[in-house]
Amino acid sequence: MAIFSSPLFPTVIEKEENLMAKSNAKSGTYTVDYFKSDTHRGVLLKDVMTDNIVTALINMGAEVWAYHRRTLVMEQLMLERGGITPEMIEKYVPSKTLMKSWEAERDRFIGNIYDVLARQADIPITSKMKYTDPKEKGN
Amino acid sequence: MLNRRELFAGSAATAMTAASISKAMAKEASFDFDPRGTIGMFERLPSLQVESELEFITGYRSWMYRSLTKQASKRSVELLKLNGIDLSKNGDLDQIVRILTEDHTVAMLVHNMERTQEQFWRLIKDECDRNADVLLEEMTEAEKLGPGTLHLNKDLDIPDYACYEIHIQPGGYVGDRFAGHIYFYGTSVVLAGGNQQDQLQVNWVRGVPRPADGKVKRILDQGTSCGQFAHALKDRFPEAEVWGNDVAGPMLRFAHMNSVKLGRDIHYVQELSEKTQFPDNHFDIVTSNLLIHEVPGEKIKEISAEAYRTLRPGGIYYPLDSYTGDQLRGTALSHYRAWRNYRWNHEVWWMEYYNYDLANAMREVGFKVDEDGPKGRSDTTRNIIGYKV
Repeated sequence: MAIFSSPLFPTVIEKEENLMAKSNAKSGTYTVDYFKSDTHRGVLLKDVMTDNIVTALINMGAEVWAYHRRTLVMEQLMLERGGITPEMIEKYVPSKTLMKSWEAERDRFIGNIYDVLARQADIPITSKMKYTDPKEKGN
Repeated sequence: MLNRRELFAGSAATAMTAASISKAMAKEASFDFDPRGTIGMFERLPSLQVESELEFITGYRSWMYRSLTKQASKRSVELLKLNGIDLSKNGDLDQIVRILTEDHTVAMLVHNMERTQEQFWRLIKDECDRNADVLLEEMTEAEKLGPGTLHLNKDLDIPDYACYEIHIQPGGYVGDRFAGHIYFYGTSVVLAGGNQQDQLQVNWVRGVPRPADGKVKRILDQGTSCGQFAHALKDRFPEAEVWGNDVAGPMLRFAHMNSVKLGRDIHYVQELSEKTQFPDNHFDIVTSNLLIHEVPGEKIKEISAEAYRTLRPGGIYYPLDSYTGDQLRGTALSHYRAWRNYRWNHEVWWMEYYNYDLANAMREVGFKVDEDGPKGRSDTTRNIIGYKV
C-alpha cells in the first residue's frame, strides 16, 4: 500500500498502489470504485449505545413528523371536500388484507427508528483519519 | 422545450397554469418522471413520506444550528479558557480536540451534524434506488436531447483523490449511479430547504466579474457537479456558451437531464479540471463553485494553471470557495471546526485547504490577483479574482 502524507497536515492516508480507476461505463452508470468513509463506525458520544439512542430519537422524530404531515394534508382535504368525519375515523375497522399491509408498514417504521440500536462501532471521536480497507465497488 | 422557471415567475394563477402545462409535458415526454410535480424549478421527490422526513431533518438541523450550536460554542469557549488556550490563535489541534470532544454538549453537536447527514443521504439514496429503473431511464433518454450537450468519457482515468465519500455522501461523487440526485436533494436539506430555486447560486453568480472589455463569449464552470452554478451563469450571461466540466459521470448525467428539463443550454463534459480538452486562450471566464476545497493542494495549483492556459488574455478566473490562508481569521474554535469538518464530515482535503494560500498559488501560475473583490456571503465566500493579462 502506498502511503500518502499531506505535507500541510500530518494525516496518513494509506491507498492502494493502483491509483486510477476506469469508469464503469459498461453498466451505463459511469460509476467507479470509491473509498468508504468511517463515520458510520464512529463513537461520537460517550459510548456507542448513547450514540445510537440519540440517533434513534432523531429517526423517530422524522417518522412521527411524516405521519403528522400526512394527517395535516388529509384534514385539509376533508375540510375542503367534506364527506369524512372524525367519528368515522374512530370507528373504522380495516379488512384482514389491509391490516396485514399496515402491520408491514408498522414493522418498517419500527426498523427505521430502532435498527440503529444494534449498530456496533469502535472508532473513538479523537482518532486520526485512516483509510486501510480496499475500495468498495461502485454501483 | 418549455422553460419551467419562466412558467413559475409571478402569481399563483400563473403557477396553477404552469402546473397543468407541466403535467401535459410529462405525458408527451415519456422520460420525465415527475409523479408529484414541481415547485418552480424544483422537482418534488416521488413520495410524501420521504419528502416529509427530509422536511423534518431540515427543521431539526435549523434547530441544531440555532440552539445546540449556541450552547456548544458557549461551552467550547468556557472550556478552552479554563484550560488556558489562547482563543485568538489556531493553537495545538490535538489538545483542543481532546478538551472539546470530552464535553457532552460539544460532542452532541458533532453527533447531530453527522447522524442527520447520514440520515438524509440514506433517505434520498433509498428513494432513488426504489425508483431506479425509471430514474436511470430518464437520464439515458435525456442524453439524446437538448438544449445543450453531454460528453461522457468511459476511458477517463479517475484519480483516487476524487474517489472519497466527501461529506459522507454515499459513494461520493463517482461511486453511486444517483450521485447527482443524492447531491441535489441532499444539499437542499443542508441549505435549510432554502435553495429550491437555486437562490444561492443565483446570488453568488452576481459576484462573477466581467472582463474589462465586457466580452463574454465562452464560460467554463470547473467541477460543475449538478450544474446549478452553470444554470445561474447562463442566466447572468445569456449571450455566452456555457460549459461545465466534472470528473464524475453520474453527476454530469443528472446535470444534463436537469438542464434539458429546465430548457438551459449548457454543455457538459467529463474530464479533469486540471487537464481539459479545451485549446489555449479559449474562455472569457473560468469559474468554480465549492470545488477547490475538495481537491488536494497540489491539484488546486494545477487547476488554476489550466484555467490560465484556457483563458484568453483579459479573461477572468474566479474560484469561489471558503476563506483560507491569510483571509481566514484562524482561531482555536475555527481550527476545531475545520478538524470536525475534516474528520467526521470527511471533507478529506479540508485541513490542507484551511492552510492553503490560494492567491499565491494563482500568482505562481501567472495570474494578476485582486484579493479585494466584491464581497459575497460573509466569511464563506472567497473574493479573489485572477486576471490573465
